[in-house]
Amino acid sequence: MEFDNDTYILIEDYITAKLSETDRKAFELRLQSDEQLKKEVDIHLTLKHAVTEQGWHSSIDYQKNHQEIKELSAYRRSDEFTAIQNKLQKVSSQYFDNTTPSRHKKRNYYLISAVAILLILVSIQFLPTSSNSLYNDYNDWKNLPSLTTQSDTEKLLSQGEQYFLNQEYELAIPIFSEYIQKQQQSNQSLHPYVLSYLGAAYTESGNYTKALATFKLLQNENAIDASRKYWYTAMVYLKQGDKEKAKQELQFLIKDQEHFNYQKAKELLELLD
Amino acid sequence: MQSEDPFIKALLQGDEIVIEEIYNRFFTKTLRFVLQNKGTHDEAKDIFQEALLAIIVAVQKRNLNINSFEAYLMTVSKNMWRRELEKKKKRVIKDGSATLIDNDNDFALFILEQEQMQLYREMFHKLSDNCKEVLSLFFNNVSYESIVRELGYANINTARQRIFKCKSKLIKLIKSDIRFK
Repeated sequence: MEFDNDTYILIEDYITAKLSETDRKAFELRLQSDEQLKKEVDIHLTLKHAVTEQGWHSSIDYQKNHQEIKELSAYRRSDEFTAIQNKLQKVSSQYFDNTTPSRHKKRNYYLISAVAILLILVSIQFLPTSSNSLYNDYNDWKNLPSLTTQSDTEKLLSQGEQYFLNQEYELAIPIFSEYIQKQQQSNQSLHPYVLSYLGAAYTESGNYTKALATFKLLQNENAIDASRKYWYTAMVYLKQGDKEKAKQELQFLIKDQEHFNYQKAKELLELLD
Repeated sequence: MQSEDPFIKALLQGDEIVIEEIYNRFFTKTLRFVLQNKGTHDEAKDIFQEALLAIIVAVQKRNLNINSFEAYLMTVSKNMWRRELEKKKKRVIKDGSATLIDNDNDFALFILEQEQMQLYREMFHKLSDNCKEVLSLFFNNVSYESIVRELGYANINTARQRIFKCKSKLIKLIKSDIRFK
């Protein structure tokens, strides 16, 4: 179907958003009742997204293609397809579980959701491709095990954790650092999770020197998780925007599959390259 | 229809080792695209899996023939994420056109939309280099003035006519293809 020149100009102005609010509304009203015109506009919109490879336009008429849609969704629900889907799901969980420390899955839901919300709020402030956004995507402070299940004598620690969750780092830091200092004075081995919280709090509050020094203690402790030190240190450098130094730390992690966040480190290295 | 591609075969047969290889080799690419376009790691995870499922459906039910698994997987993930972003946008502005539709049907719709997008791209590549260039500028909202300067047209009117011709030709190609809906 051919349209007159004015209509083509109108379509062009519509898809390039050059129409005034009133004109646009009038045009959209016309589209509702003029099927031919609607189809033409659909084509132009799809064309725009196809050529620019940006955005998307859903040009398929649900009613007209009802039969094909029905067949495809029936296949999606079929046993054959469900079996494939389950298999894929299985491999996917295996793959992604290796990228997160599985031993620490059991943490309380409050912690997960609270930190998730905080991370979303924080991540809004950053632009996508910066190392800061990679920091936001990859820092896994939310995976730190909760300290709330500890005995009464360590109530203070759970208080510290709450402060950390509330982003009140200036309150959380003294609690964690005093705890570590006491352990140091009595020559006890240092609590690796408390060290992690302390380092995370320093990192989040921008005190990078202290964050690095704290994470370094993780390594000295000879803990099973000594390799965590490299991951966390990489996070500090990433937040600072020092991609090169972050890469050096990650390079160490990918030397051994047993290392903390081995898979994630590989992934992140590729993104940093 | 049986595919010769080893990755497709593995997906259809549920070969876990090769499927894991798919994750190992290609996930980062999808991840990178999603992260660079306002997405998160979790969203990339979902998109990657749905894209693999979409490929299975296309091969099984739409007679899709794939030359390069990697390239096709990337195209599908990108398209899926572009579509997802558009849906998010509509949800934000509470656009009435974002109708409620169940997941299975929406997935089916995506398959059909994706086919159309492919068709449009294919026909676009059949155009002359000059047409491709001028249409790229035009659809990327470059002003007529800049197009005149960039491509050395006599004046705005010539550029306008050229764009109109190229666009008409492209639409004609698309409409005359049997896959056009």
